[in-house]
Amino acid sequence: MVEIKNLTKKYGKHLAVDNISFTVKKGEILGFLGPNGAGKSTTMNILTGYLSATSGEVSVDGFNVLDNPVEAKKKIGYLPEQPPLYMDMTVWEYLDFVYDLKGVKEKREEHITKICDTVKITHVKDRLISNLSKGYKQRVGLAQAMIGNPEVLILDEPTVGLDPKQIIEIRSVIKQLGREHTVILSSHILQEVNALCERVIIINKGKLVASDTPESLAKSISNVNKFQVRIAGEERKVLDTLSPIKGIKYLKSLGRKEANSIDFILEAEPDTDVRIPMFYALAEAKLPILSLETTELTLEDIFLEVTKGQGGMVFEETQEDEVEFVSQKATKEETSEEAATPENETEEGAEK
Amino acid sequence: MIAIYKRELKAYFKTPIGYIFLSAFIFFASLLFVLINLQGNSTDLSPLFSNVSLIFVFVIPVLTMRLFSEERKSKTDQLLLTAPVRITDIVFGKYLAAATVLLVGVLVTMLFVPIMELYGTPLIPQTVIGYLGLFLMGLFFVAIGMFMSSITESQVIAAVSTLGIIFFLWVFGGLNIRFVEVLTGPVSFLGTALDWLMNFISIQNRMYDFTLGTLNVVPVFYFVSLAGLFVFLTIRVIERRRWK
Amino acid sequence: MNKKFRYSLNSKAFIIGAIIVVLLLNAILITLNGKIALEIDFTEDQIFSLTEESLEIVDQIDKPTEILILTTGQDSELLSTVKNVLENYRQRNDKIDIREVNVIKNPAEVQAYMQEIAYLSVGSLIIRQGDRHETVNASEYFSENGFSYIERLTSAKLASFVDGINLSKVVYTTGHGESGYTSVGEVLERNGYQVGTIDILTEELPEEGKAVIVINVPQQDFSSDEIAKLDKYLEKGGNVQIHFDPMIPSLPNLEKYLAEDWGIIRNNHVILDVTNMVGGSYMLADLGEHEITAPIGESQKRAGYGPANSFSVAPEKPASVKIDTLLSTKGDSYAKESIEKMMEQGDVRKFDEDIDGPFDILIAATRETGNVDYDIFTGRLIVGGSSVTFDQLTLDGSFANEDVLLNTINWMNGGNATLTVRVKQLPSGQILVSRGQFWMWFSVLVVVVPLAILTGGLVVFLKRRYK
Repeated sequence: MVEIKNLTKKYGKHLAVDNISFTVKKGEILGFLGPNGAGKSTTMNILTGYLSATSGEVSVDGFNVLDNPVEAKKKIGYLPEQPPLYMDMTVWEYLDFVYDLKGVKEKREEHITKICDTVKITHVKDRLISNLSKGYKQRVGLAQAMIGNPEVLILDEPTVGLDPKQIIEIRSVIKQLGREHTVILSSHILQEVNALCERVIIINKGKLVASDTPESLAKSISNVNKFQVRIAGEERKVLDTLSPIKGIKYLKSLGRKEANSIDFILEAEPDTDVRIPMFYALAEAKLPILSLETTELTLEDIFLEVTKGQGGMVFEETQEDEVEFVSQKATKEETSEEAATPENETEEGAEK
Repeated sequence: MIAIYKRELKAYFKTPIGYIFLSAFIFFASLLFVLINLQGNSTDLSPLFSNVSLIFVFVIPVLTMRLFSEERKSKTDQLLLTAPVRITDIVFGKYLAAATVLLVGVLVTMLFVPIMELYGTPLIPQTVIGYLGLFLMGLFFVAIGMFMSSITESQVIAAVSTLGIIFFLWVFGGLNIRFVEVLTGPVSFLGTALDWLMNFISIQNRMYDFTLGTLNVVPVFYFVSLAGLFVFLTIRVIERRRWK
Repeated sequence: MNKKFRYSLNSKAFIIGAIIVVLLLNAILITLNGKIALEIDFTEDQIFSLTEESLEIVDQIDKPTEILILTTGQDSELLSTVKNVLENYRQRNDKIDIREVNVIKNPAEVQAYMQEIAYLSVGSLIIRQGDRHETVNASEYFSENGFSYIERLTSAKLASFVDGINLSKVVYTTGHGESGYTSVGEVLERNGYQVGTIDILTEELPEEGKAVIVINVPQQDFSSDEIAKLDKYLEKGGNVQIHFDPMIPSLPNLEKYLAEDWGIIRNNHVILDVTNMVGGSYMLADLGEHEITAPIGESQKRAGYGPANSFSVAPEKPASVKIDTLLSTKGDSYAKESIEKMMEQGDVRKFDEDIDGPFDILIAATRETGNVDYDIFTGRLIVGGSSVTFDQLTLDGSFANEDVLLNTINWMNGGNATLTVRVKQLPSGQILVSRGQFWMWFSVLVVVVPLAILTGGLVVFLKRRYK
């Protein structure tokens, strides 16, 4: 349905997208995973014809985006990262305009009403978009993409900035859409992609890093080997108790976060579950565990995992050390960029 | 194109912009009409026409400032550029919408003619051609404004730069200097060139041709071709941004 | 469209090329403007085409005639208008040739005419036919330089090369404290008349029927000898215009002659009309029905006048005299008994004791003399009651006064083969708006309409804002 061949986009000397190729089959929900600034939005903007590629080809249902832009664009519904909403219009006026803009042939009233029902915005259809909450704006944006029933839906970070309830709602809408449409969905949240997509593509620094099903991705990253533990008791004593346990690779105190307790970060050797020996050891030492959480896997972790060369992963780049380098560099940027949405992610985890 | 034209036109009248433009334009044009023609007992609208160009300097930026700046700022340009329409259609839709609002303003001021008819006999051909010239001049300014709006995300910068350009054209072309007489001797060639250039960019000179009651090809072509040029440049700016 | 083409469409060179093409096309057109016909003339009397009268003159040029245009090699708007006019001549008559002379490069060529054209200014013209020549000094169209003005000037000069076209004379009497005639004189000269002065007592009067004698607001009375001479002149078919004004005293001899011989009585009161006041100093008069006023367009039948005398027809008017009204004041006008009375009232507005209008303030009279055995002559006399009827401001385009003036002269020369180049100007109509109407439109157009639009906008904005 969507075919991308050797796509490259340069902004001046900066290489935003570097020779990416992949195809999306009809009816597939494809996850597009990568940290902020990885080139997801750029790729999507090229896909939808908003930007032109420096080189490479993009075709949608056989129509080249460059040669047959109007035909190709007819097949696409696009929700950019920031929904393209006219704040001075009401929801209905806006969707009515999009209907005209896309030159939709279906019955106007019926079509728009149906979409409003699907994304649950019928009760706000006469309100001014600027007065809507973020979640509703996102839904209006999604409704916009759905107008004209395009075969391909391209959704750029559809859940970013939403509260958990809104996230769940939007995801269920997307899942529903996935039954009838080809969906390309970008995200920097692993769980989201995991939950929605049939196939995942990971890009970083403009390069395609991996392409696989979420299952095998999940398998590769499901190793529970990094925890944050809160233990009531003295720091010294805890360290003494835990250090003899086999399989603990790394242990570090995070200091006091709650009265009479110490938080620790703990990392185990791969393929080793240290939780049970840890529990008994601490129980013996009368050091109660107040909480134990697996730490959220960040994308760097995934990249690290992926680049460790486990089976089932497809590598576009054969030079491992280069990928390593990239992911290390990404780590630095990640920490600052990801800081913007840490709450979402922890909540995300809570929901799971 | 029609969808964009309709939306843009509605936007003018669903936000205060269209009303501000129309009331300001009609206010100043009426003031001039009342003072020049009713007070001065004249049916000759040509002083009005040449002064309206100065009104345009201040009101046209209001009309054009948000055309593309706003879209870029609110990212709605992504919607337009990823929709199955050509950039040319987008630009023309917007341009025609602004032109329509301008036309509404000009049509309202055409009420001056029947008002004069009540008290005297205005010369219809001269007046109609004058209004045509006025509208064409407005079209030229709107194209400049749209172009400026397409190169910046800031409405304020778009408005101010449009005002600056139109005002420059208005003032520089209106200066009554004969460079030939100032720069004599060996530099008189420069004087000739400057005089020619002044004549070339002089909005007033072009507008003057319309107030004589003759329909001259030169000023019509001048306004229409330059308006077309700026529309073309706007299309190019937007197209080129995709290739950046 | 292939990719290459798309890229080239976006290239800087292509865009710059497009800009250059548009600018170049405009530059060419602007340069050509005035050189070739690029316009359609929608004005009612085709201001930018030659008048019938000019064409008549041009057609009659039967010997090779060369018109030299003085230039410095640089173009100007004035020059292009001049060339446009002359080009019209050349296209009409191939006897006429036009040549530009660069006075900087070829000063010698125009050396001979230096005296006449005072200085070598761009746009001055030298018209040569055989060894005869006429010059047009550019300073003559310095202040006014429209197409029709230049046409009038140049065709009048061309007329002097046509045999049988004799410019008729308009002479102003002197010696009685008469007012000057600068502005009227200019109008007349540019319309092809010779203007001069005459002392009736000492000088020989011009040939009857070829001239008009004008007595323009005299302060002192005429002697009986002078009047006798004028009467004789009129008897032989002469033309005389006499203009009075409320400010000039009673002139017993002249007024007696008018009353007895012509049946015209001067009413030395002061006519005013604040209702039809225009621009604070002029009042509007209606045009009477006459040969003189008939050609003036319906839309321009408005003349301006200042405080005026009126004229009435004496009961004992000689049967040979026929009197017609050219200008009469409107029904709203009124007359103060005299200047003194007006001073006493201390106001120009209407008082109950004032006389109600309308009044005749410009009249045309003819008197036939002689009998069937001899030639019958028609003497023509025009009498006006206001010095302002033909002054600089009333003669300007917004009134019909200029047309009236020229038509009176033309009419006076009526039977003769006199050819005048009729005035064609950009007519700017006059409208009459009272204070009340002015303020009504002011409030409607300047206050109500913009405010209504703004309020509408505000309502829409607020209504939508809380949606």
